[in-house]
Amino acid sequence: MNKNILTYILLGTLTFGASSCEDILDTEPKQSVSTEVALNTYTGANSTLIGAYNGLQNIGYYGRDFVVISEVLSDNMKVTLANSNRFVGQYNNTQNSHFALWRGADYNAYGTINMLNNVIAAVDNLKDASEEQKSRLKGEALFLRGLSYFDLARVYGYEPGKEVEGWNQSVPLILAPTDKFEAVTYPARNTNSEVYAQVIKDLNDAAGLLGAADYPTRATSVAAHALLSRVYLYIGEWQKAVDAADIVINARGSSLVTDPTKYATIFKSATSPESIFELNFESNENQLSNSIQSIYMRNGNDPNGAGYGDLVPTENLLADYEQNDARKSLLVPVKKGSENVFWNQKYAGSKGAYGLDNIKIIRIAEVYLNRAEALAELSRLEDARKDLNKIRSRAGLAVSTTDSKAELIAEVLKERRVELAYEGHRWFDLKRRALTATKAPEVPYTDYRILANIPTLEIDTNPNIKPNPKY
Amino acid sequence: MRKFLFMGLALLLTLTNLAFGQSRAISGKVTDAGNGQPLPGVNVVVKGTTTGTFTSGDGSYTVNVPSDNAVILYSFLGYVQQEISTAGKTSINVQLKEDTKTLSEVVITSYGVQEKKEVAGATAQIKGAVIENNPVQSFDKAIQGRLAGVQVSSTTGVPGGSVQIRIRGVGSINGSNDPLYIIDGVQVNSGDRSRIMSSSNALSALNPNDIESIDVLKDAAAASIYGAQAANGVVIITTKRGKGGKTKFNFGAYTGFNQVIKEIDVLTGPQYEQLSREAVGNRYGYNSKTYKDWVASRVNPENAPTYDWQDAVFRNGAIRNFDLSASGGSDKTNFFVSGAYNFTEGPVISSDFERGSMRINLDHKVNDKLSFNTSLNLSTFTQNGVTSGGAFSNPNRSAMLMVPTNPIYNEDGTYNQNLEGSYNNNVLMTANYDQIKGTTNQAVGNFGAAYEIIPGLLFRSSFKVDYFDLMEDRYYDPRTRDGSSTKGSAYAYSTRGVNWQTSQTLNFNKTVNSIHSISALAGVEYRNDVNTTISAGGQGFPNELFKTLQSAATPTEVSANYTQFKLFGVFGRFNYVLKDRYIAGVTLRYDGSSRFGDDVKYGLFPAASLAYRISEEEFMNQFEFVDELKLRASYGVTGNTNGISNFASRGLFGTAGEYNGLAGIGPSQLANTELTWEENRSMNFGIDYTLFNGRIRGAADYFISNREKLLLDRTLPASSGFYNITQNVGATQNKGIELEISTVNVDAGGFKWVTDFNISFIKNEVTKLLDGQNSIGTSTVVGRPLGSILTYRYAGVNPADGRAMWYDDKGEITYSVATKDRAYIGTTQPDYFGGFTSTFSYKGLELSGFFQYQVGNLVLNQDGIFMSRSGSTVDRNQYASMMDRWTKPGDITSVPKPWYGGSNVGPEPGTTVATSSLYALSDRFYEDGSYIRLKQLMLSYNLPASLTQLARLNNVKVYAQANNLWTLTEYTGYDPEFVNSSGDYGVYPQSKSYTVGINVGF
Repeated sequence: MNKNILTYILLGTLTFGASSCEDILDTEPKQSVSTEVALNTYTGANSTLIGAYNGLQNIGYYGRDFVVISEVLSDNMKVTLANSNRFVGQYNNTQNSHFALWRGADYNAYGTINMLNNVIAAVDNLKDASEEQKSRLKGEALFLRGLSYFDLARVYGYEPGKEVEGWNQSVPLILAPTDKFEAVTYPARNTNSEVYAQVIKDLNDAAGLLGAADYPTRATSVAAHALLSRVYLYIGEWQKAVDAADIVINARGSSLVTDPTKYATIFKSATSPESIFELNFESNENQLSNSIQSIYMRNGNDPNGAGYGDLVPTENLLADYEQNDARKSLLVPVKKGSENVFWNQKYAGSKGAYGLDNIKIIRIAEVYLNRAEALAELSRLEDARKDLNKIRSRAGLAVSTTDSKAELIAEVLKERRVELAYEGHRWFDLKRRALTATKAPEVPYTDYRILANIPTLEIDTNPNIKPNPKY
Repeated sequence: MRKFLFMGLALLLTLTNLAFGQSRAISGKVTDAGNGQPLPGVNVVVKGTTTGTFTSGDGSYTVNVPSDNAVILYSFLGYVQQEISTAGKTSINVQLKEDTKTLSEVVITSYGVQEKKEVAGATAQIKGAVIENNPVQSFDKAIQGRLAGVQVSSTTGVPGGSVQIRIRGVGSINGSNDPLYIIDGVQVNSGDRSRIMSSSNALSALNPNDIESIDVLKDAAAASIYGAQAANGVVIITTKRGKGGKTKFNFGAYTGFNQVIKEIDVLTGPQYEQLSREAVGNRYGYNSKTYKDWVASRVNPENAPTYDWQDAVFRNGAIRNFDLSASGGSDKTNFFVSGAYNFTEGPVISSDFERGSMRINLDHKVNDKLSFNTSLNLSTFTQNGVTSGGAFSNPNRSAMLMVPTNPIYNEDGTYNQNLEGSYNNNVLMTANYDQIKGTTNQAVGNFGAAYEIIPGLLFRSSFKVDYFDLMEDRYYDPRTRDGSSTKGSAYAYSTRGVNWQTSQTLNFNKTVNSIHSISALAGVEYRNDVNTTISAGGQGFPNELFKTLQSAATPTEVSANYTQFKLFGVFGRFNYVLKDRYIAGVTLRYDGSSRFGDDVKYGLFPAASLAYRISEEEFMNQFEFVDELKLRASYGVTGNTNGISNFASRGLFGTAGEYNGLAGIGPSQLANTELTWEENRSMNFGIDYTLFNGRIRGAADYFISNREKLLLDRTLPASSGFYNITQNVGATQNKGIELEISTVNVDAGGFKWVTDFNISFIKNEVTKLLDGQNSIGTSTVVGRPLGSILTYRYAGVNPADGRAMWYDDKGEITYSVATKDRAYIGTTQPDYFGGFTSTFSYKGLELSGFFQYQVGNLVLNQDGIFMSRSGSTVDRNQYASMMDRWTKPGDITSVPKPWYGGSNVGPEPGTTVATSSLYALSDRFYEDGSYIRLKQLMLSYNLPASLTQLARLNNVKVYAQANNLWTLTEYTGYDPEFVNSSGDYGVYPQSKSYTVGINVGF
């Protein structure tokens, strides 16, 4: 009997020892999965794409800051005297108070780009995805990458051809996934032309791969063309801007709200009728006090309601609203502290809860204005006026009749300012046209603060990164 | 019938006699030559045979000897063996003397036992008897100050709370500095497991009275057999086992109470109002309207009432402990079983600890070759707690900061919730109404078998488990300040760990010609450790009668988590002893951990040691006073895998929010295939000595331990999508000297005076950080010890105008400090620490005092920053010493004049200039943490055997003891012993206790 016991023990030991030393230490995390496993399947790759959309919702990006900072850095909005100390630095154009998309306190655009690079690298090897699924996956990832690099390019560098003192540095282009420590690179900044070329390539590729599924809360072919029409405007490729806009307007032009009395429906519908692409927010993603609504208005336009209501239109912007402008219906006069100000209602909890709005990234009105501006630049003034007047008429304003190219361009830009106010365009529209932000004190185009600062830690960590001039 | 039986018995005896020749019985009793107490479990063997027995509980024995002139050997661990001829005797009473060459003690590792005289590594041992009946909940507290090189510090006074042990100093920067704990061969998880409570020590599950001995392996030669887990040293706990003989019962009970070591001396109501007035008057001017309005709105200082909140939250907490054990066995089976109950009320209301535990240690010899050894400990303990740290609901902290004029109760006897000041939580109410409770169920078991394949070659197989389940409940009562906003809220957290291990070893021992002695060990070990948690929370309760989550209106938290690691090791040890004096040892361990990168999962941990028992040499005979003298040297490498997250080397995708109702994932961690263990390369030189027939003995060691490949976070370019990665790049060094000396000062006429003393000096230095990096924060700086303190230097109070002054970077007086003015003033690590015991015994009476000390460390008195504001923030109570504030020109004091708000203090009342806050953080609040403490004072009496025999008892001991009775320190906060980096900020205070007890053996 004793011999039997010994035999069992020895047998057990041998069996145990026989399993290989590698297997014996295998463990797999459960809250997380290994990188190699994560992107092996369609669902894994698709969930990573969802993770990138989630990145866009970050309050450091489209969730709030990217939209709001454009308005306060420029001449559109000011901080009320009584305030919660938010965005005061940006409003005063204080050095180092700027957009922070790259190693920002809340957001790192390269984190999202890395997700997208992972998806783009993995998609061709997916064994369980149909060609249609692959096309859409890759197309959406390319669209979001194009959008991300476009936003980085316009924050950290000048537009090609608009360089001040020849400074053409943009952001480093990272197009391959960083999946292990050995893959970490110490890149130099690419030039602005290189980054814009990549943006255009990604968006064109996306347009070719995408259809219209889940419009407008997911990237679609039309959305890619719409964004392209804006990108071409930024680099002065007028004809290409017109061509891209044509495709969008042919497909979605009729979604423009034409009745001035219905203007508010663009912003008070859960999903905007004008949206070409908007970010969806579910009730559990409500940013509450960190939402755009909170910084633009207090709940119920009540001076004692929840939120801050710190950012209000400047007199300079209000002066650009013409009399009888239907868009004034979105401005509610309130007394905040000692000041009489307006709270804009573009983000007013349209999804039925305080703080909850979908964020519009491109809407059809912008595409008309994109085309109007490009046509005017191409001296096709009549076509340009037609597009401009669509926007003016639906705002209840008299049509433009000017025959001067310069005047027409100025009118389009003024119309663009009012139509797209509070939606995150103004700073970049001034910058790409080399215009001065009219505030006290002024920020002329040649001022170094036009470009955002790159965080010191990033420059210290990567000696190949040159800081922007005078930072 | 009776006759028949007698006949049978006589026949049997005859037969036996025939078989063994002239066999006859010898009986007698074995006692301790020192104190006359009976010695149970002494091995009594007829020389040259295997015939033998053990003495029973009262020291008596009976053994059959084959012939008249046989010789009986009496041997017992720690005593000098005796040989006595049986010629002409039927009864032999023996007195065994304690072995003065105690180097013949054994050192225990979970893979076998080595005689201490043959050990070349640095180890230390403490017997269970030394810490027996100490009213602490876990043994780790009781070994404080007992062992050289082992620094034990409390992190909290919570009953059942965790303790920090550092063996030979701190070395790791981001990893763990905790040693590996092994209980009866089982590697157990230690540390604080609590997630809701303030502290729950995993080692509290073990009844300290079950412990036979605690061995600490300090240097690489001793510890490297545990390879990748041994860099911080190893603590091996061995519990009591049956030693054969008649079943011996032991019953013990003690009872008593504990109370806080000290209460903080705070201002009375009149003093508080007086300082408040001065603060407002100095700031705004005594003729200002503000001051007059203030005076009008307040009670006149003379009439201000005083309520003692500390008195209300502190109490005398009851202590009760009972345990009963039985041990004994036959030549085949030995057992030790015990059951114990401990109940300890904390010195703060609503906090206690209650444990029930049972143990079965069973050894069975199937035959000469095969034996089984099992150990099983089952334990459950429940802690009720209160909040700690900076929470306003923390009773001990808020009690001292509470405005003293606040009544505790309303006139109708209900709790007063209308409290003035920042600390406006009625902590008495909160502590009584809220619930913070945790129950741990734990099982630690080891099932093993050993088989002697050929003489000298032993195969041992063990399967072990360390299982625990901790259920924590937190309830915020809807009537309290914290609970009312949510209408009550509750949390239920479950934490479960299954830590499974096995080891298979081969031991070989052989002595050739009494000259060469060889021992070898080879083995494999495997460990699989899984930890799971579930967390749930909800809020909105109907009323305070409903306390479980089921009644919550809204769930607020639902979460579950899983983590796991595995270890696999192959190891070997070879020891060679020549002529009992030249000793050489080599240890190798090849360890793999699932935590590490694929390329570096496995590593080799070697160690080598040499020892020379010079006292065995003939030329030493001229030095008669030398009993034993051994020189030791060792070098080796050990690793540290703790403090690294289980999947730290993996590239991970984690959850990344959601979009359009779909769940997202994204890269959460960058793969680092080179991530590996931290290394400790240590060198040790030591000497063990016993002199003057054992009157002086001890050890001295010098060590250098270089910690390398320490984990540090390297910043990455954010363009990679990641911010940082953990890498093995840092290095630190510890150098130290440890001394142990025990002396028998007097041993005459039954009176004995023995002292034990130990002291350790450790010097720590950061030697390397990331390339080009000189510091991490301000406390980790190359060339300085870990825990260095960079702060402003307080220059006292200007006698002319009462303003606080500091030194600037040039050493000149300033009223407004800037970053450049900071200087390094010291470290949180002590220069030296240790303990000493003095024991006086006479007959059965024994008096012993044990002191523990540490010297040279700084402690941040963080509560002091809040309590030393000269009354300037009129919202909280202050130290009574604030009455020493400056009042008029010429006053020499360190307490600045009161100034409402505390900053921009002007030279005259009503004038303001820009200054730093009068209570700004500076060396004023980093106090000298040196202390010496009378940890234990014990008086015990062993009733004489003549008396105990009357009651048919083997031994009876009664005792009275006091713990933490007396402390000498200049530290002004609760306790200089607390080691938290934030000082003793809101920490539950330690207690002193008084207990009386009895131990009865029968």
